[in-house]
Amino acid sequence: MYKLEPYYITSEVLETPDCMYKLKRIYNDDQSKSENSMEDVDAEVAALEKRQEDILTRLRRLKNEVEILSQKQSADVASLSSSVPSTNVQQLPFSGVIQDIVINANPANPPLSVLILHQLLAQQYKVLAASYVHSSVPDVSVGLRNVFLDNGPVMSRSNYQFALSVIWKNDRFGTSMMLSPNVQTRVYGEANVARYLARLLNPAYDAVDVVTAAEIDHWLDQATQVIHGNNKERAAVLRMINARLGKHPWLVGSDLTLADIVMWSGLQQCKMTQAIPGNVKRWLDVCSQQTVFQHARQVAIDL
Amino acid sequence: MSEAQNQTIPSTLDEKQPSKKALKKEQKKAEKAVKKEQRQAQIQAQQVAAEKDDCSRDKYGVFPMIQSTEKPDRVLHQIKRLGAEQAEQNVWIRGRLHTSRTVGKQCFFIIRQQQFTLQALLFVGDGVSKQMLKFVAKFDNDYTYDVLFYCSITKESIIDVAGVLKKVDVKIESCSQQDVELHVEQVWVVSAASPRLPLLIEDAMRPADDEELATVNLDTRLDNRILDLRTATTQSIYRIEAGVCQLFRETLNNEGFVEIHTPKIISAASEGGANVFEVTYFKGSAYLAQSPQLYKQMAIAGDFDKVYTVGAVFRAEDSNTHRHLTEFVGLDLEMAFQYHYHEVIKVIGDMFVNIFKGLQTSKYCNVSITASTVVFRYADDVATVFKQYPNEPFKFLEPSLILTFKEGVEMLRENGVEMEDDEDLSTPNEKLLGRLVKAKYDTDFYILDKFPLAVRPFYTMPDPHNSKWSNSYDMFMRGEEILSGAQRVHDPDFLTERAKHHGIDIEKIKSYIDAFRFGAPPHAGGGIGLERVTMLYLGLGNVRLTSMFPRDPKRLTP
Repeated sequence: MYKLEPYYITSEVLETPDCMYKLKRIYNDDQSKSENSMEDVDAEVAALEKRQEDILTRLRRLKNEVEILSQKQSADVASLSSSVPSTNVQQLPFSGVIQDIVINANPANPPLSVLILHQLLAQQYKVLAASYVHSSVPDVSVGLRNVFLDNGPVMSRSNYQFALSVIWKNDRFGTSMMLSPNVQTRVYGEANVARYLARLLNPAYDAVDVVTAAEIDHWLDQATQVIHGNNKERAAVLRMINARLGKHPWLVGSDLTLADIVMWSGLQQCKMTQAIPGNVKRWLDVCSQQTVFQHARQVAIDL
Repeated sequence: MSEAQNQTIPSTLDEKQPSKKALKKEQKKAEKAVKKEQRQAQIQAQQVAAEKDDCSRDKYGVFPMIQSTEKPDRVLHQIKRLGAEQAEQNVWIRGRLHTSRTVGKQCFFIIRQQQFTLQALLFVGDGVSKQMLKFVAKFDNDYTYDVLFYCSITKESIIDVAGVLKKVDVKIESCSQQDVELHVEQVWVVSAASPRLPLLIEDAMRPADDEELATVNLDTRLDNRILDLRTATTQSIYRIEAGVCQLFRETLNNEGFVEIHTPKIISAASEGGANVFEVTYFKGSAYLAQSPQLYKQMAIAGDFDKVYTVGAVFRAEDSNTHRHLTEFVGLDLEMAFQYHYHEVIKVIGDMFVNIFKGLQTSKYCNVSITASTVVFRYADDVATVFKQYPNEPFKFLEPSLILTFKEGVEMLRENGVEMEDDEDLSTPNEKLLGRLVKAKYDTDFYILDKFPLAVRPFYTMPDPHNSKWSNSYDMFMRGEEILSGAQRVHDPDFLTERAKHHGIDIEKIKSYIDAFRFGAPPHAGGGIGLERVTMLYLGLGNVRLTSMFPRDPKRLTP
């Protein structure tokens, strides 16, 4: 009750007794305060800007250093990152550690295209090819057991750039590939494995000719139909190939491509080399005469 | 408490005069004795009466101790060979009473021989009295049962049982012989077990994660090892262990190896010098062999070309882990090679593949030993162990996968492990690498080649191209190291140089260096721990499960 007195004294300044108006005065107080804080914020922003500038200059300096370094090493950093984002092919010679491509394959459906692509890879890189038998497979024919003629390393393992490890395994999903378990999941399907290997052979695979790449992809999908499809689907694909080969020597373009390799492999696996249309037969014969096909053909005959 | 005080206080006050209470007590005692006598007489009378009207008096009981008094013309059958083909046959079987259960006038009990079990059935009726039934197994809720009167057979007792085998319609899930059961006519105790068992065999056979029923923990098992050994799981574990050893010998014998025996009491520490047990040797002291390394190498220098040895190895390491023992069985081999130590890696890798393949065969493979045929069926044993300790079957590649140490480090780095090129693998990294290799190659066994020279002992041969690396290798099962080996330096001068580089007193290892003074072929080898291989093949969590009487820093008995 006694406190009322001092209240009255302070309210002398106020002319209106209504409490609603008090808000205005608070407003005024706030404005004066915010003006002060605005100055604080300005100072903070300035400090931040300065820090950003510092970081940016340091980044620029770093970029310059990297550019100088890359010029010294004569490596085209820009093209590398744009053309092969998924594989580290170009970096390999520097890392000095063998890159092991592990391919699981079912001995009932040996991925012959891998053998052909191995031949091609071996022309370009130092490739160590080895085959293993997984304990889940009770027995594997000698031909598949030693599917690579030069089984096992001839020189020290660290002198190779790539290792191609084919593991014969009872996997109901068929062929699959694993490079690094922490950055990828298993890549399934012979066609997909072939796609990867083809990009190792030619890092600029997707950059050169988009239309051709798309056409090859189409035939690779058809090859998958042959490997995993039923008889009806296989017959449909066969008709399609026959139509194409009636006018052209190869499935895509005017030269041997990945499409021919995988399709050939698919037809061999399904034992579809007898009772086939004439055009396909002619094409199969031409394929089989290619030098890179010789090893795979031998394996196919032994099946 | 107060009663005790009441009793003691008067006695101290007046010793000659017995108190009223004491008198009363004596009186009661006398009464009790009379009652007891009466009761015993009654029981005897009952017993006599019971024996009189027991129609199967001569068909059960306790055999007198077998002291080789007679050679009866009786064939005891093996449970593992009994099947539907033996139905309607009269057989005698000797086994242990595994469990028994009485339902009304029938009694089911299981006879066990090693890991094989057979259900037996006894029912009151023709030739079988109620007394006989009670002798085999008491009623679970029979309060009139008297221990003095009917002394029933305790679990784990060895019994001789006679009866007729009968085919059953529904397979008996709880027994190893599922197609037949025995209709019992006679039961005799050969050797009774004490009624109180420190652990029950059924409990000891349950998976550890059983939530409803009792399980037995490791220490209780090891303290009562004899009972634990009787479980089917343990029976199988040691059969598999024997199989590992057998396959090791078989494979190496086929490769032209010679088995040698090396001394276990040695004058100087063979490797390094730490971790050896010192023992008194007459007036001086000696050490227990930490590895047969030196003697293997001397055998090579003595032109044995390829040698292996199976024997006890002692390590005075005070480490209480799941994989360390102070005494274990070492499978050691050493061989001279032609030009490259990879020849040796190949032999060892192939040997492991052979062992793994041998263990996973379910076929009967007959190996004739002194005209009789021994049957090995490790796949069944592995299945038995997996029943109690569920695990993924062991996977491997043929030929064995060989990776370089550098590749291994690179795989670890890709997974965010920070380590130097020439740093040794720590136990967690070893495990992680095992998992990575499994994910990529789907194999539980692999070989890591070319370890950094710095982390290997002085006798390891350096890499010819880069002395940062060495011609050494480790082999792993389920991500744990089981073999460590290398090409050894076989040149005495170079060996001296290497020893000096490691700061080892040349005088102390003089005899080792001298072994190579008269020319020694290039050679390499390695040593394996038998218990560890068995443990990891089965994926068991503790090496004590695969050592019959394990020795570790805290256990010297049994």
